[in-house]
Amino acid sequence: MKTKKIMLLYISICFFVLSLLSVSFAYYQKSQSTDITLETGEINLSISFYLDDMVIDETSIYYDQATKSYTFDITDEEVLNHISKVKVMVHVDTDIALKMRFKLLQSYVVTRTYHITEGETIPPYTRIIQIPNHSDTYYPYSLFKKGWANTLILGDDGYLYVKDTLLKGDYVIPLIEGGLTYYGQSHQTFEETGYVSFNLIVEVVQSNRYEAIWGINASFYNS
Amino acid sequence: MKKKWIILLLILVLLSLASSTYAWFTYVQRKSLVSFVSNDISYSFEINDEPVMINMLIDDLVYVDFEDDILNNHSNELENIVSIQTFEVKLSPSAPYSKVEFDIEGLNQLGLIPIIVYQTEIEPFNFHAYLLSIIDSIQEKEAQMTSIHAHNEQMIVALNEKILSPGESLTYDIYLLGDYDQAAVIGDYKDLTYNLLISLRLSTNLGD
Repeated sequence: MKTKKIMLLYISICFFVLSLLSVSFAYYQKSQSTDITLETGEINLSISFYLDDMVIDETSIYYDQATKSYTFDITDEEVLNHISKVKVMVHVDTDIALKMRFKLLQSYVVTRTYHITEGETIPPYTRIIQIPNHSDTYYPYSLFKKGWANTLILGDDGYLYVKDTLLKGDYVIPLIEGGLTYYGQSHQTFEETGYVSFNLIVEVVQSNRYEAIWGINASFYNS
Repeated sequence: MKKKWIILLLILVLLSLASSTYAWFTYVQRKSLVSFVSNDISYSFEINDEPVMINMLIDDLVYVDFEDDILNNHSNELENIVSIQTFEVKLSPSAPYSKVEFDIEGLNQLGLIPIIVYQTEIEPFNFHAYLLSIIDSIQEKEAQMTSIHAHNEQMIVALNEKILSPGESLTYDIYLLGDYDQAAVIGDYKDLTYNLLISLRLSTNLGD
């Protein structure tokens, strides 16, 4: 009986000591874990067109469904769709580094309207004009004004390649901010008005894949 | 009589154990002017300057071509596309000297190329050069991946040897890339996900 009691006492003591030990170790050890899920990054790209601060889209009267392009006046600064009021914003939300290129699709059309003289009717004369290169403030061979200071490289394919890589982040890029008026000729006999049919292609690619996708090599960006 | 001695001895043993254990974590010495109190291990564990949560999502994994992008870096974009996760453990200034032990499960998954970088002195750090130094002159891709895995294990060992002093921090990076060719074997790489389980254990330098 006595032996049993002593055994019981030993066991109780052991439990007590063990419980103390575990408490002390728990106090001196800290641990935590985190389960990380890895997945591929996504890219979201959108383009918005504005006239002054008004958004215009495919439902706008300035959008031509047949040619899939916007029409902006280039000669009359008073009209609502004058090129000086055009703003194009590109929104890029990317989880990964990107290379970006874009192409301005633009056709400048000037119409010469003759003043009707007595007994004489001359039909209007319409022609497509080429825009010479202006300063660096404007896109090459365009009346559209750059809204962005990033260095651009004009490729043989007509695309403008953005030199710097866009790193992971959220970008709102003012690609176009206004434009230059084309001053047509105005005489006693005729008057010129003009417009530009315009649209834009913007492409982005995972920054290490431009060689494979766009067919250009790394030295292109150092040119 | 004997029974009393035994009980007395047991009580003494018990008291001695209890007092030493107690002193281990809340040693309190009261004197007339000062008191000393040992401190708990308090620390912060952050990933990219954000507190580490139980579950986290990293969604900037990029797949690369092993030869074009890793070995040759044709596009010069490897530094830009690699996903970099910076882990930092910072010990509180009031905490005792502590050992840090990391365990990272899931580093050797097919299609995933993780590279642990634990270093503080190489500035500026060139990831491509660092990666090439790991695979060095090895020719076969399989052997190159084995070398990367061995490197990661070495880094974990090095991390786990570190003893942090109060207020000190330990920082390491995990560079992550997807292997396009390996992923293609598994399925559509755009839908693939990988899981890493990162465990951290801190214990007092003398306590374990």
